[in-house]
Amino acid sequence: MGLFTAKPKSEEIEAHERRLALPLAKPAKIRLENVSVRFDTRQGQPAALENVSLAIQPGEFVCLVGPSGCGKSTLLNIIAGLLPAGQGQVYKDDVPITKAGPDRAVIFQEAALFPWLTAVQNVEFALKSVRDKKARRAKALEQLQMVHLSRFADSYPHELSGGMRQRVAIARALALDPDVLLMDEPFAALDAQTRDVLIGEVQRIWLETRKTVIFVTHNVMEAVTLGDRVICMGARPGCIKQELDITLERPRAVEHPDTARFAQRIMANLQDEIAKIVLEESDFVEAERARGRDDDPDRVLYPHTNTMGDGI
Amino acid sequence: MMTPIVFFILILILWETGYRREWWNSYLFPGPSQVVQALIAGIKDHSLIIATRISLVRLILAFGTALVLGTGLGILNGTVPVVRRAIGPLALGLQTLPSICWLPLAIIWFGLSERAILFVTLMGALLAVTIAVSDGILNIPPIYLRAAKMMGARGPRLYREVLIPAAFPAIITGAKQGWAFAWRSLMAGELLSVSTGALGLGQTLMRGRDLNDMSQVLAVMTILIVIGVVADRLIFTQLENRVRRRWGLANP
Repeated sequence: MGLFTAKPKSEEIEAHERRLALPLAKPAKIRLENVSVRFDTRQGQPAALENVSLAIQPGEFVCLVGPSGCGKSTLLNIIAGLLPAGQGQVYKDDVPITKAGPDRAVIFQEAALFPWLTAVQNVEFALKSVRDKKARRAKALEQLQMVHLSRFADSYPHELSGGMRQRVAIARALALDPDVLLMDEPFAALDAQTRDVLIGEVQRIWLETRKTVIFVTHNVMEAVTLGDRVICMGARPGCIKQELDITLERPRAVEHPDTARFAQRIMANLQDEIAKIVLEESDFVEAERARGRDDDPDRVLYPHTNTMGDGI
Repeated sequence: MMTPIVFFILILILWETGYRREWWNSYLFPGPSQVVQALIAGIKDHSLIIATRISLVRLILAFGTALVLGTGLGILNGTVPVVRRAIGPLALGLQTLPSICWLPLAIIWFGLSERAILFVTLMGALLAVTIAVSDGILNIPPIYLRAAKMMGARGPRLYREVLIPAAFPAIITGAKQGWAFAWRSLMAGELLSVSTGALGLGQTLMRGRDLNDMSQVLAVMTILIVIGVVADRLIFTQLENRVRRRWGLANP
């Protein structure tokens, strides 16, 4: 009787309920609820972010991509506690984020190392909690070794290349042993080769540490190579346009055809955003011209050409 | 390197020749040989050495105080917006005031004493140091502060390990300026208060005038130039360059 009808069904329902319950049972590492931010500019108060809600799971690698001005860096700075959320709530482990702290390490676009400290001293700065000086030095050297910079431990930042500086910044951030690693276009200022090497290193380090990472970039290939999930943002107002789970095996290669396929899908979506910006720009130029103020057509800056490798 | 030396020697020859040929009244402007003799005499009877030491001790006392107070005030001014808005304009105004203008007040307050001279010297350097330090703090790239906050540095540690090191090149530049101002103020103070306390270089110079001994005046001026050059070129500029290199601000 019930042996063949009721039981399989109840199992099905149980499984379904488990799936439903799963995201609830596992609390988000970072959660944003209806965050809106406005900045005062001469053009009034355009929304840098409007009603952004987002949940990031522990151990997840999330990439935020989007055109300039979509508020992706603003979002990151809010999570870092370096900018206040205008409206809405931001939580880490269900505790509201009010200020910056070592539990949320940030890697900035410029390495932001202290120029008066050597590489190893910069990493030691993050290891304040280690009281014993010898242990602190050893731990800092260990971190530098992780980014292959042991040989340059005693070099000052200005003696290192851009890529090496960024690696010290990564070592410094990891030395904090943060809950969440926030990366704000960390490779934007680097040349293509160095960037590819560092993408590989970040991927390796993530596979070893499984930190929760939020990675902001305008480079779609970078996002697809690194992210478990890529969140595409749109500008004016800054908002989330699309989310895409990247289901590829790791480690991933930057130039792999599968990565390119995912990148293509994202690019297609961002196309509209780029078109919007170009349109706004030309409207602006038209308006300026109508007011007889624009006598220098070279002044118009079009967004970067839309190639895959070089982002948007 | 050769050009200034050759030029300098030519000037000396011309000066000595003019003095010997009596192109001018020789007692108004003695030749280099006379000046050197006065220098040697002053060194032999220790009068110039003692005067130099007295002036340098005064300078170091007043400058050291100005450095400590000025750095403190500069940090306060640079980090507390209310303080900056309140005392910033006053500090700028006071800096335009030649410090010797404090002398009448200083004499009323402290009498014709060592302290009056020290006060004038201190006031000469204090505001230059204050303004340089506060500008240095205000010009720290915000990214350093964000990085520091992100790593949880706050309170005294933020000051000791981030703000002051980041502003250090500006502090050195402020010290260099402060030294120059202090030196000028000290000489002005000593010149105008001959009867005060021990005989420093300024007072010795003034005494030379009283005795119509222009070679002594020129000898003291020579010492002043040498001290000025040594302090500026060999101490402060060297220190400044080293700090700027280390901080990655100059090409190595």
